[in-house]
Amino acid sequence: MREYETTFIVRAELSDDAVRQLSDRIKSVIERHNGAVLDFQIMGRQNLAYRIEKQAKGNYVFIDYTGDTAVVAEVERTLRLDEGILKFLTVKTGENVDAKVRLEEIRVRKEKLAEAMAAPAVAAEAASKSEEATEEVTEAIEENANA
Amino acid sequence: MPKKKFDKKFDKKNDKKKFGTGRKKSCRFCQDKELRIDYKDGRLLLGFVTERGRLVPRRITGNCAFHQREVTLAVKRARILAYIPFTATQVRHANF
Ligand SMILES: [Zn+2]
Repeated sequence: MREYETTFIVRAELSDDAVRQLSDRIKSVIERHNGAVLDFQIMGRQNLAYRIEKQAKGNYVFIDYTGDTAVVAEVERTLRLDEGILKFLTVKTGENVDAKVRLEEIRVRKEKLAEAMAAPAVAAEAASKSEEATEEVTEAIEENANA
Repeated sequence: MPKKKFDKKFDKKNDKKKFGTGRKKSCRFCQDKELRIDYKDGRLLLGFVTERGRLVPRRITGNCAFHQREVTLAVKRARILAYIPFTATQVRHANF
């Protein structure tokens, strides 16, 4: 079994209930084709970096699952047929994975994340890390431009 | 290896005027193992593209070959999912 993750962008005007319904449909598609859902997250409405179908905002949904090529084909077909989907992307993240093992790994990872969130100092540090990285490169670009 | 001593005045290789600030660049992702390259992290990836949205070369970002490849892949995926723009002209539309 391979592991895949699919992110899809739902029209922002669609209600949370509609998004949940749609997600359940995708999940049932995965399960029907002998796949297993490992992780699922509705990441919420975000600004799009560019307009898609004249929309400036979209609701991001993320699903991590195992399965074979048939699962991906069916998931993508379902997404393509749905009018509420602006865009989607599927990425293969693992080969020969055991769904049970991965499920446990993801559970542990989430627990750790929750712990980190509980300890505010650690969480703040993690959050600032990506910012720092961005700043440094911006500096480097400017330096190069001046040189 | 012991460092060779030489007169700094004639050290053209490390001449700051000619070669930027001379600050040693090193791969951020090798230094910090916690820092993950994720195509869903638009904020992080924006640091590796120019204002116009083009990828910044490795010689400027300081990334190692392995991590630059990861960044490149992540940037391309992030563009598809509209986490970051393909081009600058598109930014104008997004912030109307
Ligand atoms: Zn590296």
